[in-house]
Amino acid sequence: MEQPPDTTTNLFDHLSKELLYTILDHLNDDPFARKSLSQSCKSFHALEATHRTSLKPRRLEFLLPKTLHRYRSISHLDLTLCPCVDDATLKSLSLAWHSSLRSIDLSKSRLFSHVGLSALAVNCTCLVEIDLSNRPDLTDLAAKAIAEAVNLERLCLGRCKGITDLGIGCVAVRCSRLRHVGLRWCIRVTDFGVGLIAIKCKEIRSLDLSYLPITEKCLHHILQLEHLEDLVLEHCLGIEDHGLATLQASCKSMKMLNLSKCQNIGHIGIASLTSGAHNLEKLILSSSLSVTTDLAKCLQSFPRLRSVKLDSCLGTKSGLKAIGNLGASLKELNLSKCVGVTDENLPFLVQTHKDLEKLDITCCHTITHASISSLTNSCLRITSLRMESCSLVSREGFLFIGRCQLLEELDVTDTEIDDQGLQSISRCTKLSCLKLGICLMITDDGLKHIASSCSKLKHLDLYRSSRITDEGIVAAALGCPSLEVVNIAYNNNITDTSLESFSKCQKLELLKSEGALVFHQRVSQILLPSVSISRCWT
Amino acid sequence: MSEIDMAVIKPEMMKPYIWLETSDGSIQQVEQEIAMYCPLICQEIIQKGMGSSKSCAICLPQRVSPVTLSLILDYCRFHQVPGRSNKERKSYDEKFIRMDTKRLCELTSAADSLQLKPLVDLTSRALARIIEGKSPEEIREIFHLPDDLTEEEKLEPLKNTTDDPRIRLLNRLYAKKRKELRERERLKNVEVEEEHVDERSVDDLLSFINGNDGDPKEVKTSKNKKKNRRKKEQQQKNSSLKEASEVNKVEVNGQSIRHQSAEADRIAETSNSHTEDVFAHREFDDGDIDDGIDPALKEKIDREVEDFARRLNSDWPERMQELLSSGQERKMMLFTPNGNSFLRRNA
Repeated sequence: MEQPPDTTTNLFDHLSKELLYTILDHLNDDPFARKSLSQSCKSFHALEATHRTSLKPRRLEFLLPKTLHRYRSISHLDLTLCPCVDDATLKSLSLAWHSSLRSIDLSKSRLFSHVGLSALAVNCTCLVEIDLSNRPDLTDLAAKAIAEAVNLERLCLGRCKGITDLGIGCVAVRCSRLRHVGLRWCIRVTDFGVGLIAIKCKEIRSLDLSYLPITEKCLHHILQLEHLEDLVLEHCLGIEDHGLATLQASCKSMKMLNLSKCQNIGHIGIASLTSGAHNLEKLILSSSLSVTTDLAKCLQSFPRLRSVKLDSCLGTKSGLKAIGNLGASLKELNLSKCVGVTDENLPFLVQTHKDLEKLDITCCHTITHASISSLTNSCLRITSLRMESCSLVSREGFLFIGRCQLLEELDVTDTEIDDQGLQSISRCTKLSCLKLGICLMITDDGLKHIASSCSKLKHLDLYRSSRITDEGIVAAALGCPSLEVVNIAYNNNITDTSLESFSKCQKLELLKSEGALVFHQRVSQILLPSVSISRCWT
Repeated sequence: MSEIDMAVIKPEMMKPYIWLETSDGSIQQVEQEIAMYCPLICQEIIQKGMGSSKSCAICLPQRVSPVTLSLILDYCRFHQVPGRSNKERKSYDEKFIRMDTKRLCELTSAADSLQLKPLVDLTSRALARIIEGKSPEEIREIFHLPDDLTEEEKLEPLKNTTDDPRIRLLNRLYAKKRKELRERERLKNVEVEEEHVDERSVDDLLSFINGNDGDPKEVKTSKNKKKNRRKKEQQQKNSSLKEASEVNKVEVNGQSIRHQSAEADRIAETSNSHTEDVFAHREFDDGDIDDGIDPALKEKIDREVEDFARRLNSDWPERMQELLSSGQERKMMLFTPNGNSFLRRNA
């Protein structure tokens, strides 16, 4: 029995400030709760302000002097929702948070120039991370301004096409503590600039040089970085086997290598790039080359290899089979849109990689239920299976999937799965992401099976699954209270009744219902304001 | 040394109970192995040799009352037993924290003073769970918090991710209300100078018209920041001769600035495009034109308004007429139950 409330005593008077901070930390998943608490009384209004260290304003007006005055200890500032940040704003916030600001994301802001960046770099001496992506108009003046932030550890300049070797050189010379550098699509940066980065910034751990006009000349310096772990060379067409063959350096610390779309690199080049890289764990070769036995031999050198991505590659029969003979036991394999994956080689692959946890066979049009049966017999630890558009897998094939009890993510978009398949899949009680778009054979009965067993579901995709009605949606909403993202676009049989049922899902963030017969006004009344409704018919 | 160790160990084996004294002076005997589960008590026993008799009982912190101590010892008695499964422990914890909020707060504080971290985690999470999903009013009621926030601090804009015209309207009304409150405060605290662009603008204007030269630093700052404004002020000074006229024009400009601000709000509502700040900047520059809105600016504002109307998928004049006709009624509704429902929905 609850005692009569004592209206004269503030119950939180018992708790120290540290305990209140602890409670605030437990509320981090729920921004509404923090907001409600801060608006309950003056002391909590102040408490929330002093404890908050990260800020993501929705409008630039929120950075008016009032906000700058209220939050004194902001260290992480995300301005991706404020496109109108200008030099004056950057100067104001750099002065307000000069001793606390460590990280700022300006990747969606358009109006600032090198003047604002200079103020930011000079005033915020603790700045270690800055994201300036998507500013093709910035020039070397901006890079020079950034270079004044000498404590930088993480710098992202993606799509800053106006920055050249000169600007990168300024950064390299002054920001010697850089560890993570992103130069994707900085197409005027060449071997000279990248080489300077590699020579001056010896702490580099990850380097993204995608789409740059670089050659093997800078790679000589890059591979001598002693701490380099992640190297991304996506679509670096200037790098060729002929040049790579001359490389003398080797990088022992490398763990991830991404050579997507490097059509001029073959197994000889890969062997040169990865010589000595015995710690390699992840290799991404999407859209780059043919999977041959020579490539497979090359991959034999990596005992710790865990993840291989060969999506959109051309696979030969013997090459794909040879992947099964790797010394390492793969955990992640991506064969999406990989020509040549058949019932002859895929079963062999999955039988030799029994520890497989993630498999992507999207658009492998020629496999049948035989491959699925072999997969579910061999790889019992699989947690993610993507087989969108595997149109030759008959409905019997989906019955096998229920054997994989650890499955968390399943994508069977555009397949022949039916209600019996869903009944089998409902045995995977850990499912959190289920994509059933364009599954024309499933009905409400199948969805009810999922709803009754998979209570941890967070993502549900029923795009154009036209036989689903309100009955199935209501069952899903009741059985899966943790839903966060739901897609019911272009389902003609779904009405307001479904939307009413979603009001029970407290964590719902995104509801896609284009082309659905729902009414805008009722949506606003039923659902929380945070739900995003796009293009509903009214 | 060896002999001393034996002497220390022997009394502990003989006496499996220790003595604890709570803040109200009452002393009780507790099984030692259970009390040792509390790090603070454990320290007192091992490092200081306290608790072995009634005369040297361990004095517990002020925040530990006899009732709370009883609860804590129940918790320790359960969890110090080895071999219990995680499921059992979790089930016990769930039942344990079912108590009224006041006692839960006291328990959290006491557990913290005894450095009993698992219990602090348990109770602080329980308090966080109580707070989740509640509105500020509900939180205030549950924890007996004072309602001492100013009106301005409460009127924060609602999220408008659904692009609902009514929420947009509500945000505009909130902005208007905040402005009224700010002006009211400014009248009360005339001496307090706020760092606001409008305020600075008016002050600069007054200072210039009165012919007072502020301290060189301030003048220098003003000069650096607002060259255009200085030119316009110069023109205005040349064009006027009488003080009475100056006073009148100050009022006109004041109204003009207020009017400009209203227009700025409307523009802000229409879009987040890059022109937003450009417009705002230009308005402040043109703020002291005494013949109304600049034609070019007016044209751009009209264009923005048209875009806004199109996005609302309704005819703007009709919309405005509807707002004006029902403005009074709507304003009343906002701060009665309907307003509360909006706030509650937001929470």
